[in-house]
Amino acid sequence: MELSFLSTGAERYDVIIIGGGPAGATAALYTARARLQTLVLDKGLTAGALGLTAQIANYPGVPGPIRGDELVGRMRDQAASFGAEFVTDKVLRVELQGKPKQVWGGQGVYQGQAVIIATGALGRTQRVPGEERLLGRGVSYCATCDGAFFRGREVAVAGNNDEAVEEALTLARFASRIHFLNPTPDLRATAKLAGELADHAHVTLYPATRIREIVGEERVEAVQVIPQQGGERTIPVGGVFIYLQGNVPITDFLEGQLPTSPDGCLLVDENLQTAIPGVFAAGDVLCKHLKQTVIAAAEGARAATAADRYLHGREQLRPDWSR
Amino acid sequence: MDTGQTGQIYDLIILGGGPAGLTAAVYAGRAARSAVVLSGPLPGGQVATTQMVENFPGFPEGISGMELAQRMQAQAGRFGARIVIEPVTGVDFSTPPFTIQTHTETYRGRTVIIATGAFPRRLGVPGEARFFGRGVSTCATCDGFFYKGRRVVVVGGGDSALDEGLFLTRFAREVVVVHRRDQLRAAKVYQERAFANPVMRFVWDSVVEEILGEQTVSGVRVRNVKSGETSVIEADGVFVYVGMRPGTQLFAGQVELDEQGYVVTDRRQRTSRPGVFAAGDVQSPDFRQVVVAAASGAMAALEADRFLADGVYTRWN
Repeated sequence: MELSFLSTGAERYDVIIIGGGPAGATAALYTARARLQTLVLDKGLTAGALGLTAQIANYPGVPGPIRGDELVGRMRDQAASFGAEFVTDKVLRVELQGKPKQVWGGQGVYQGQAVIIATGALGRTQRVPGEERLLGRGVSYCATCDGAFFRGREVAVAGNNDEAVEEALTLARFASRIHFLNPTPDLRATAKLAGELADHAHVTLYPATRIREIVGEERVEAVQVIPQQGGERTIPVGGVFIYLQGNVPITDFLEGQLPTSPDGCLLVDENLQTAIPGVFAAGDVLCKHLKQTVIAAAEGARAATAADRYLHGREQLRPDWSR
Repeated sequence: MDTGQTGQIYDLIILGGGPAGLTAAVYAGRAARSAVVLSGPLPGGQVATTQMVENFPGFPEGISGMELAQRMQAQAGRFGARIVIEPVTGVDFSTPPFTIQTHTETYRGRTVIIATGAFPRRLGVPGEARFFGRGVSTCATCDGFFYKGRRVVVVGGGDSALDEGLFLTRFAREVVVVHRRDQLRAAKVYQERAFANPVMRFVWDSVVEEILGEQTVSGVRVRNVKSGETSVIEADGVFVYVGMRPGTQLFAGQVELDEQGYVVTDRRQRTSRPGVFAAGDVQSPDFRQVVVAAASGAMAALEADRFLADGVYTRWN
C-alpha cells in the first residue's frame, strides 16, 4: 500500500457506491435507510444508460413514459432523503484489499468499509489512434486532475454526456479555447449543462464530429477530426480529454483487482459479492443477458443487503422462513 | 389457435397479481405477447396491505402500497394484459398447452409464470385458530385501527414485526414485542425506532404458548425459553410475524419445490418444468422486497418470451 499516506484526511464511509444509476441509487437507498454512512460517486446524471434514455415506460409503478434522467433523479433524491451523500467525481483508482478500502477520485480520496460497484456497461472497446501512445502526454480522462496544465492553451474534449460537458466547463477555467467534439448531432447532457456549454465564450462546439487521430511526436500537438458532413480538418491543441462511451462493462479503474469474464463483466457469487470480501457489484457491470432498469435496481437492493450483512457480521444470518 | 372448447390459448398465464405478476404482465405486453393475470382475492398482493412503501426506488416521497399496486395494475392493463380475480383451483403442467382451472373457467397457456407469493405463517398454538380474525392478526394495516387505546402483543423479531409493531403504536397504548431470542433480527433503522418508542416494550427469550380468552382475546401465555417459567401478558390483540408460507399447494408434483415448499428456480426464473417460470416471493423468500419481486417478474416474462420465440414448445408438440 505505497499510497497509504494519501489516506490522511480521507473521508470515511461505511459504504462507498461507485456509480449512481438505478443499481447504485437503489443500493444507496437501502444502505442509507439501514443507517449506514453512504457515499455515491458518480460522473453525472446522464453518464449512464438510463440517464441517456429518452423515455422509459416499463419501469413498474411508473406508468410513464418518463425521461430516463428524471427516473434516475427520483431514485437519487429518494436515497438522499435517507442520508446518502452524492458526489460528482470520477473514480481513477481503487485499493480494495485493505481495511478500509480506498477509492481515489479526481477530487479526493474516500475510504469505505464496504464498496459496491455499479458502474454500468458504457465502457469503451476501442481507443482512438494515438490515444494510448500519448496518454499522460496530453491525453487525459480527468479535467480536475490535469486541467491546470493547460492554462492559456487550446484543448479538445470528446464526448456528449453530462460528464463530458462538466469536464469541459472545468477546463474552460484554464484553457483559452475548448474544442468540444461531439460524436452525435445533439448533446445528451441535461439541458442546464448543455446551455452553459453552448453559452460559454471559450467553447467551440463541433456537432457530429469524430476524432480520426491524435497526432504529436512527444506530446499532443493536434487532433484530426472528421465531421459527418465531410471536410476533414486538423485542430492544433495541447491536450485531448476523452469521455466517449461504448458498450462494455466499466472496470478499467479496478486495474485487474477483481476477476472478470472473457466479456469483461464482473464475476460475483449469489450474494453479489466479488472475489474480495466486502466488495459487491450490481447492475449492468455484471454478466447478464437482460439489461433492464428494474433488474438493475433489484440488484442494487440485494447488494446493499449483502453489504449490510457483511458490515454487521450477519453473513450467516438468514430470515426465519428460509432456515 | 382455437381449442374448440374454451377459446384462446394465451402466450403467458400469470398466476398471482402482486408486483412480480403485474411486472411480468407489463413485460409480456411490451413483447406483444397475449397474457392473462389470474389474481387472488387481494389484487396487488401483500404490498397492497402495506401502509407506506419507502424503499421502492423512484418514489422519493414514498407511496402507499395500495397506490403502488394500483399503478402497476393500470400499467399492465395499458400494455394489454387481462387481469381477472379468480382463485385457481387446479393446474396441469404435464403437457402443453398448460391448463389452469378456476371455479368458472379453464385457461390454456403456452407458458406459465407462477407468482403466487408467500403468506404469513401462524404460530400453531391453542387459541390462535379460534381467534384468527377476531383478535389474532397478521396485518397491522388492516386491523390496527381496532386497537385504539388497547394493549397488543407482537410476536417476532424481524423487520415485519417491528415495522408493523411501530405502526400499531399509533393506535395502541402499549405494544409488547415477544421474541424468542435476546436480540432482534430486524434492520437497525427499525430497532432504533422501536427502542426509542415509549409505547413499545420487549419480552425477550420467550415464546407464546397459548392465546387466552373467552369471547375475545384477553392475553397470551408465554414461556421463557431460558428459565422455563410461564407467565401471562394481558392483551386485546395479537399480531403474528413469524415467517412466511409459500402459496404453492397447487403446484406439488407439477414443479420442483424445496423443503419449505418454495418453487425451485434457476437464475433465469426457470422451474423444473420447461415453459413454467416462477417469480417473486414464491421462489425467493430471502428478500421480500417489492423491487426484487418486480425484477424477477420482468425476468420471468422475458425468459418466457424467449422460450416462445425459440419454438421449443412447437417441437414438444
